[in-house]
Amino acid sequence: MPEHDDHEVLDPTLAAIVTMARRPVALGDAARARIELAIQAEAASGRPGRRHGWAWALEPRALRLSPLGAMAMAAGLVGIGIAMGLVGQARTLLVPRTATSAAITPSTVAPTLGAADPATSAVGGSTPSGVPVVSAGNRAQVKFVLFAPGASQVTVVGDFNRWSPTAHPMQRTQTGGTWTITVPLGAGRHEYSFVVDGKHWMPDPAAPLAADDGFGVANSVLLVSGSTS
Amino acid sequence: MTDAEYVNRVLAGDVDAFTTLVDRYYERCARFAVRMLGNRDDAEDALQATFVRAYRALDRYQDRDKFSAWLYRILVNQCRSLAARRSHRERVFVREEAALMNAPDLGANEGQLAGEGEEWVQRVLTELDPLLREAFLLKHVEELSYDEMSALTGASVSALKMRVKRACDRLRDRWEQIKDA
Repeated sequence: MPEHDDHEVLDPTLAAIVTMARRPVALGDAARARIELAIQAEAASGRPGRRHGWAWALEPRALRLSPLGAMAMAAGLVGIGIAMGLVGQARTLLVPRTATSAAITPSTVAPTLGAADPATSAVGGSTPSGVPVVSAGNRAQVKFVLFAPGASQVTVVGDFNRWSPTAHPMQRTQTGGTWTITVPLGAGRHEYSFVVDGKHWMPDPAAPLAADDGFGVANSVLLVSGSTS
Repeated sequence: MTDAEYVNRVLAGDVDAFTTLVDRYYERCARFAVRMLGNRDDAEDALQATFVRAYRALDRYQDRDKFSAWLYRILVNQCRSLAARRSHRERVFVREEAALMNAPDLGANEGQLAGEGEEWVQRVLTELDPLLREAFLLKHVEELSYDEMSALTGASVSALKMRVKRACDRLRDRWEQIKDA
């Protein structure tokens, strides 16, 4: 039976309620990543003490996040511009949930290849062009990730599967709103997009490169390097 | 390293040190915000605003205060502000008797309580008056002393004791009401 410093002893009913209320609450990696983004934006504005300036944002750094958090952060870069635009104001900025909840992470490579995670490197600024260049041999295992909790079906389409909405259905992860698929891709430039619920085509909002598909709709672009890292 | 040492590192230009402070208090703050606000979206907003404000005001943080207490003060204020704004646009208090009638057996084993029990407790908490809920959570969930609560909320110890007692009475009554229905 819980007892507290002011000598209050709880009866069994209240003790049970307190026990349940004390259970940890998981807001998810995306929420944690958005806080990180907001702090980065704040730091980029020079606070506290106005010592850091833009140099901090441009400086490569390691971010201690889980893989999902890192990817969500990369997706959240869509919102960081908004955030940075707000930091000079007196109000508290919020990195919008839509910045990641509807966003897709940039492609990432299988860690066995030893290549840098573009999600992390893009944040750190260590990828000069910001383009997710995947170092691999003949074919790279490229993992596409979409955070779309409201979707019932998601597929990735691209020139690598002749834009077939049925060729590469993505799998919902156990964490809920995240969809993933790993696709082997040859070296070169690939255009891709996502199809949500079989009808909504959407480019990767976090992808640093986009290309007009010739019909006025932008596709996302992924570059796969032919060199082995 | 102590919180104060991390604060000094942040103020000296090591922004990553603030990440350590966020990591240290993220879970507790998340739990309080969700229990207080009743939904995760608002809780996330409150949490983000709290950490940003804390970062922004870090050079005004005084070592004589516990960092955790200082952070909690910001969090409590953020939750209050958010709840006040929200009350203008919607009432999120759960009134569905059907849901409450499905309250779990509080004497059940821990595994059974984990899912539906927690959800039910969240709903009953949300029914409480915000000031009672805040006092109950700070006292019994976050396990602060009344002196700490007083410093944090600005309310007197006697007022806080009364709020906690009323919250406990209402939670117990609510449980009895459901059990007898």
